Amino acid sequence: MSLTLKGRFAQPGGFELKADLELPGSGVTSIIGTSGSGKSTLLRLIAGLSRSPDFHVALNGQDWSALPTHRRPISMTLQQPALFPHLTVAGNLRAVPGASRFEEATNRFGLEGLLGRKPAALSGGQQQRVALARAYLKPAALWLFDEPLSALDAMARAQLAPMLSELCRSLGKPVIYVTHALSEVVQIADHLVILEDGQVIGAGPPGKVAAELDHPLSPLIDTGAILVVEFDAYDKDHDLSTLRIGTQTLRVRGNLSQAPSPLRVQIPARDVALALVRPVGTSILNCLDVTLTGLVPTPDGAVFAELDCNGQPLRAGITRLSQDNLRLVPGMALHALVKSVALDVRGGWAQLPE
Amino acid sequence: MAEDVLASLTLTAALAATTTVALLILAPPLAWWLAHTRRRGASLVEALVALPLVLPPTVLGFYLLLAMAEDAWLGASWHSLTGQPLAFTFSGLVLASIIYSLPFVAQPLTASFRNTPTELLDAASVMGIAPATRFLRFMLPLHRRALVAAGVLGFAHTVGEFGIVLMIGGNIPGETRVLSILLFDQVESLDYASAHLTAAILLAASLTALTLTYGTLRRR
Repeated sequence: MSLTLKGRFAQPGGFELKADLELPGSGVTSIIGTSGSGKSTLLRLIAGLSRSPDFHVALNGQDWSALPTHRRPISMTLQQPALFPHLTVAGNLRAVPGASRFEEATNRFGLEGLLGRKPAALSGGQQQRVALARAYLKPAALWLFDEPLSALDAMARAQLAPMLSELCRSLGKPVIYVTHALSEVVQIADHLVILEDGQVIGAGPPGKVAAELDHPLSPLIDTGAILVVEFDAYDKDHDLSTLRIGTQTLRVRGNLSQAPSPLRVQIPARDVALALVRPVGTSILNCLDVTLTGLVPTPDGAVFAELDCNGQPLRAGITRLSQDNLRLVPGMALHALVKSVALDVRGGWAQLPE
Repeated sequence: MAEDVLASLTLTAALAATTTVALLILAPPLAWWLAHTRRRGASLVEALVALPLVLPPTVLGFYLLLAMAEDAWLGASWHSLTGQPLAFTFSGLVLASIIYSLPFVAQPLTASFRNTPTELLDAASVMGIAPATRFLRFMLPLHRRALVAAGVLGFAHTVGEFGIVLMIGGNIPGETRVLSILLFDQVESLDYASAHLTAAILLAASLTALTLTYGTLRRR
C-alpha cells in the first residue's frame, strides 16, 4: 500500500514543483511548508484538480493520470468550506453521489440542529464541519485535507482540532494533511513531508525529519525538535503537568493526566536557549541537561546548536556571537532552557509559561 | 380592428415565448462554455454571439432572407425536413429571433457563470459529481437569478423586434404580423386611433412584465 508522487509541475509565472515521493499507504502523512512552497499544489495534483502529463500519481501502483477528479477515490476538504450557497446543510450533504451513512455523519459532526439552515446562516466552524461531513459521506480510499483549520478563528479551531484528530485516527484510510503549522499535526502525523520552494527538503517519520533538517527554515515552520515524552504527574495547586523525558522532566501548564501516553511535543529551535551552568533565579521552569552534538550555520547568519537530550535530538537557535561567547564545541555538556512547548491536548495548545 | 390587435398580440406573445424557451435551452451551455473555455476560437464565437448587438437588424435580416430562400441552403434543408418554407413563416421568424436575441440571453449568463467561485467547482469535483451533473443540477439553480433576468431580456427584446421581422416576415396577418409591424401599418395608413391602442398595449405589457420580474429578483 503506497501513494507514489513523481514528476514535475510548472505553473505559469515560473513556479515549479518537483517531487519523487513514495508515501505510506496508511496513517497520516502531513505535508508542511510556508505559503508558496507548493504544498497545496501537491495536494491538488493528487486530487487531479491540477494536472500535467509530467506528473504522475499512483495509489498502490494504480496510475491515476487518466482519471478526472470526480472519478478518483478521494475524499477532500478544501481551504474554504465551499458549500453550495443555495442549498441547505441537508441539501449540501445529499449532493454527494452515492452518499451512505447520512445519520452517522450528521451525528458525528454535530449537525443535527443545522440541517435546515443555509450556509450563510452558519459560523465558519459550522461550515467547515459540514464540509467534513460531506467528505465523510463519500466512499474513498484516500483522504486529503488542505489546511482544514486555516480559515477559522482561534475558538473554532480549538473546537474543530480534536474532531479532526479523532477523525484522522479512526478513518482507517491513508490521510494526507497539508498545513503550514507543524504544531497542528504533531500528535497525529506518522510521516512528514517538508516542502520549500517547490522542493521536498525532508521526508520521513516526524522525529527523524525534524532532527535531520539542516535547511534554513522560515520561522513559520521552525520545526525545531519533536520529543517523545510520558505523563508523570499533575500538580493541581499550580495547574502544571510534569512530563518525563528519560530521567529528566518538563513541566507544562494544564492537566494532561487524560492525554494519550506517550505524547509528542514540539519545541521550536528559537524557543531554546543555552547556558553553561544551571541558572538560578529565573522564571523559566524547564532546564534540560544536554550534550552538544554539532553546530550548523544557517545562511541568515544564525546557528543551529544540535543537542542530545537523553538520546533524543533537540535543537537551539542561537546567534554566532553567543556561539563565540560560550566557546561552544561539540561534546560539551550544556543546559537547555526551554521557553515554550507546543502540544496538542484535546485541541487546545498547552503553552509552557516562560 | 380590435381583432387585428388581438391577433397580433397573440402572435407576438407566441413568438416571444417560443424564442425565449428555445434560448433558455440553447444559451446556458453556450454561455458556460464561453465563461470557462481557454480555447483560442472562443473569442470568435463570443464575437459572433454579440454581432446582433452591433449590426443593424436589416443587415441580419437581409442575409437571413437570402439563406431562407427556397433554393438557398437553409431554406432548402428546412423544406426537405418539414415540407414547409422558412421565409415569410412563423418558423422563420422564430429562427431569426433566436439569432437576434441570443446576445441578450447569453451575455448576462456568461457574466454570471464567470463569477462562479472556483472552489465550488473544485468542491463538486472532489465530491464525485460529474461535470454535466454539476452544471445541470447545481450550477443552473445557483445562477437562477441570472437565468430569470436573461429570460426576461430575451422575451422583451423579441417583443420589441421590428427591422428583422420586416425583412424576412413580411406582413401576413396571424402568421408574421407582430404588434410592432401592426403599429407601423396603422401609422402608415394614418389610423392614429388604432395606433394609440397598439402602442399603449406594447408599452403597458412591457412595463408590467419588467416591473414584475425586477420585483421578483429583488425579493430573491
